Amino acid sequence: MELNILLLILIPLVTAFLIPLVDIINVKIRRFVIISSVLAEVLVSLFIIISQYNLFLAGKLDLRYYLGGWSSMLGITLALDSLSLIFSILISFSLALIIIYSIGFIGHHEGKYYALIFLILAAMQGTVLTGDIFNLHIFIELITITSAALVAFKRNREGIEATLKYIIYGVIGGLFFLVAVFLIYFNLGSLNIGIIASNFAQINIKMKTTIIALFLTSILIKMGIFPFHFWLPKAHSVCPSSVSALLSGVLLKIYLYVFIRLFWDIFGFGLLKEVGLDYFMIYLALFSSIIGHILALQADDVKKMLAYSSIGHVGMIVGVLLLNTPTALYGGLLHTISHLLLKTTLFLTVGYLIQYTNGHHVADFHGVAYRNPGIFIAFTLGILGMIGIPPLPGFYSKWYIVQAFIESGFVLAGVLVIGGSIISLFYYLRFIYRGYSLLDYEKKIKPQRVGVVLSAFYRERIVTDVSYVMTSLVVFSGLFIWLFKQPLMVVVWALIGG
Amino acid sequence: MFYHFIFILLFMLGLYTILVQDNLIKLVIGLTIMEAAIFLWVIATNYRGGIIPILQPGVIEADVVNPIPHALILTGIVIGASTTALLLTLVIEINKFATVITLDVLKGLRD
Amino acid sequence: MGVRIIKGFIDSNFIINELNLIFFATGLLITAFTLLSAYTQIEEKRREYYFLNTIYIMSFLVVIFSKNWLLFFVAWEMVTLSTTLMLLWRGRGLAGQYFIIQFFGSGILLVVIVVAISNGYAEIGAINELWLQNLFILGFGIKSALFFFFFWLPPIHSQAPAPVSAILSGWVVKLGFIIFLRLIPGGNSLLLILGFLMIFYGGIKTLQASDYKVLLAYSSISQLGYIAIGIGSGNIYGYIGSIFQIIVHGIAKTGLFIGSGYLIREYGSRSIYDFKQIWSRQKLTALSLLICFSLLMGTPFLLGYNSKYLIKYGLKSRLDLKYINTIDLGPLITIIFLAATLLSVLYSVRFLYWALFRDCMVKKQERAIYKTKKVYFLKKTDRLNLIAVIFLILMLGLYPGLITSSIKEGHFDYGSIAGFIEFVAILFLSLVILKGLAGYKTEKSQIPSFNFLFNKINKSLYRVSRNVYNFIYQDFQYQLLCIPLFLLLLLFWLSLIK
Repeated sequence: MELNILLLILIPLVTAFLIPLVDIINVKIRRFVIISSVLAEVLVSLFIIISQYNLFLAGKLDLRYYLGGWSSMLGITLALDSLSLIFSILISFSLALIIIYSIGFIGHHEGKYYALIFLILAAMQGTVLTGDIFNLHIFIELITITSAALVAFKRNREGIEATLKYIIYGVIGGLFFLVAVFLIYFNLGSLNIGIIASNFAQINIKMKTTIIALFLTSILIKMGIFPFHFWLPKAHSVCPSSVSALLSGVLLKIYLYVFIRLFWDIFGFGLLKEVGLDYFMIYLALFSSIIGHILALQADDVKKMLAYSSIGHVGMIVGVLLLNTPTALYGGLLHTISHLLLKTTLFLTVGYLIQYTNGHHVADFHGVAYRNPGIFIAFTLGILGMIGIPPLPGFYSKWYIVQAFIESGFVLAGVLVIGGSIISLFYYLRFIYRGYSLLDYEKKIKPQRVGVVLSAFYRERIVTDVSYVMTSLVVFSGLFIWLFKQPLMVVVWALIGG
Repeated sequence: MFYHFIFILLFMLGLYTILVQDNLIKLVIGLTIMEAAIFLWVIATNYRGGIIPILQPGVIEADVVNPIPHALILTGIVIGASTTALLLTLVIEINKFATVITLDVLKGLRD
Repeated sequence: MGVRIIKGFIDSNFIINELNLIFFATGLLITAFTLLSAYTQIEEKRREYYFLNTIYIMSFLVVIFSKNWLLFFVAWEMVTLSTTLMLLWRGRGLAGQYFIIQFFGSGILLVVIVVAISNGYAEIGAINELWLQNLFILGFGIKSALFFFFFWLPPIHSQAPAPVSAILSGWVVKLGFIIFLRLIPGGNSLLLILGFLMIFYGGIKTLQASDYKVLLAYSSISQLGYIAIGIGSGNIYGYIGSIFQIIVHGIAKTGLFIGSGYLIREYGSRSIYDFKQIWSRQKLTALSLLICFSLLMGTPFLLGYNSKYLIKYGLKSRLDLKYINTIDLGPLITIIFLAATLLSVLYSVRFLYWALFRDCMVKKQERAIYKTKKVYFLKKTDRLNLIAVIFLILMLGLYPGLITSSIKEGHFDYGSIAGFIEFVAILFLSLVILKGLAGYKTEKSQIPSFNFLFNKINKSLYRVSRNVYNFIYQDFQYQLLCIPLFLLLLLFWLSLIK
């Protein structure tokens, strides 16, 4: 019985419901509550890593918490193994930074914002930590609903439309997931992931394939792979930048986690191979990746461009994971981490930069680099990482991904990955060019704000500091990339052996 | 088998509503029909008569009603209600901007 | 403990042998020259420039010594990145072009390296398969400006600031050939043919050039051709000849580009026809031009003679080239090589005529007038720099043993009288030809550019992207239709499995 696991979910959940109460008493305490809660979350994560690190490296990490003391057959279990530990840590640290960033960034309706974002944090931790498949569905739905409310946070027409689209896609995906969960329940009589995993082979093949098809459709909708990517760019671009960073940087990775959990741990990868879906999926994911990169070219809106590039990268990760070789899984997980870091950095810096422009369009980036040189360099570093320039983390994962594809005989896929990064050079470079373009007479005028889209920041310092912290994390993780090798290999061997 | 058939019929009906209807409210209704289809299906197929499910000494598990599907469906209904509420809120918001809540007017949903 | 770890790291990732140490010394010397010249040529932000140079030096050292592919590639990308940033001293446009083209090159190279790794070449070493060798020639093509891929070299090298041109042309393009020395010790016919094409194409273009830096850039291509021939011949003499040629061309081009900076400042023009009275205006620069060009054309008693002699000898003694269907190709190859030498002597003499000897016979009074018109006075560091280059060239010419003593097989002395006669004859011939052409004065030419290529690619990519967008994004309900269609397709496919 490990109470720490429960705390990871409980702290943000309690905070989310505490914030409206605090608002009634005194608004000024709110910031204190938020920061202390975030710190508590990070500390619990740190405590778990430090206390379990040896067990983790030995590959034997398996903490459980039985809610209400019910056995795993009847009750709900929370479980923490090596895969979920990594994702849980990523969530708590990145969300901590994003929430601290929002303290400086969000200037209106703060009570609602923090309640929602803490609910998302609780739901994400729940998704990663739960050992019950129905509970997984509940948490995913919770993420969808709360994030939908955040997407519509600006309450303008575009935002509302994007949210409508997002939530219709999300609910349909969730319903397919629910049907699949019930099919499993009818056949096995249990909802516990461990029990399902050990008994899944008993189900007859027709039912298995139906379940797989439903899960696959659902998870592809949630991840935004090609035929279902339509909701993604708009939803990720209309919301405040801190929410975009959360959605595009962190949330997509949670669905990747669910994907890995379902198709490796529960069904076993052999089944996917047996029904001949793995090659089909690889081609679909790679096609989606290229489509994402190509569509990013026409996006003049900077945030839309970043969202399209997310489609490209997530497609790449899914494609490489499905190869199921050690290099492939390592590359995929590494790219998950590096994409999380880089996309979050990019969205956070862009969030700052577009406060100093008239809009999100490329043309509005005219001369931004001279007005905010520091943040623009951070933005440029993020871009360099994205296209894969060493020593930033994006390069190493690109290397391993290409290596994995070519080792498995998909030479064309390796070339496509490189092609994607070359295309992305073209669409990113436009913004850098525009940022540094300034007419001579404009250089002489003192830098000043052009216009403000949202209400102005009132704590600009926090925004810039968090952006710099994120950027230094990116650079640091690139320089010390070998530190990731051992922990990730533990996960990889757990996935392949299991 | 009958229940499965009804489930598929209702589910497809909901899907059809979403794919064909023009009105946003009807879209929401379609989603609700899909949800309801699943709930009805689960309850109907899992129903078996029995006594109240309280595990006491002397009560055999085979005698009691299976409580798990009902618990699940209750949770599911809560989620369904909240999504429906959120969707309807969005429709109200869109009505403020657009006055007409049909898809052929809302070009913004395309991209 | 720490020392052992570092030693273990070095042992497992680096090769340290005489050859590498020679390149190490040459690279450091060349960089030192450029740094000295940068002291006067780079006026603003000198500290940042020197910082970039430190990164550059560390990276190229890793490139030379590394035997680990990943480390090598990372270091090479760092070389690219640091030189790109150095190009920013000339302007964003140039740096952008250079970065894009190098990114293309490294993308191809990455795929090729990964293919090599998956074929069992875990370390940088001799490659046996012919197809893989040819693939590597393709992969290194853009980076080291081989034939068909050198289109980027003249625009970039001719527009960069003088010290940066010296770095790029003197050392960065050679790095690829240094790796070739390790990859293809056994020779490769494709490289041989490409080398000849490079010599002739570059030579003819050099002969036509009127812009000094363009002339230097094209002559770089022509001289790189000799290296390619030397490596391609696969003979120990050719091999050592190409090592010599790398050193010779590195030093000579560095000296020339450094001198170009002073000349362009003095005359305010880049056309070689405007360089009047160099002897009275910049004596030391004139001397360095004379020495460096004599080195390039292979004058006896300078190292360039040795390199060309060895390459020619290596080419002659390559047996499999000699006979095709019992036809003796030996004389043909000799003639082609002589023509190549004639070409390089021709363009050197032409430049020397226009720049140095056209008006060296003026009267003393006139010379005094020219002296008073001086614009740019050589600073102390400039003088030191030029003297050091001249001294180094003369010293290496007099004591080639400095290099050859460490490479045992390449012992060379001036025993063969035929070489002298050949050189004198070629020099005489070229003088006659030039006399007949009246110095071959060409029209003022535009600086070559490949920017239109990028514009075209960018535009077409954008158009494709726009079309894809319009094709994919149909009405909302068509987008939603993808979900049931995909699910049904999946179920149908899975139902086919028994």
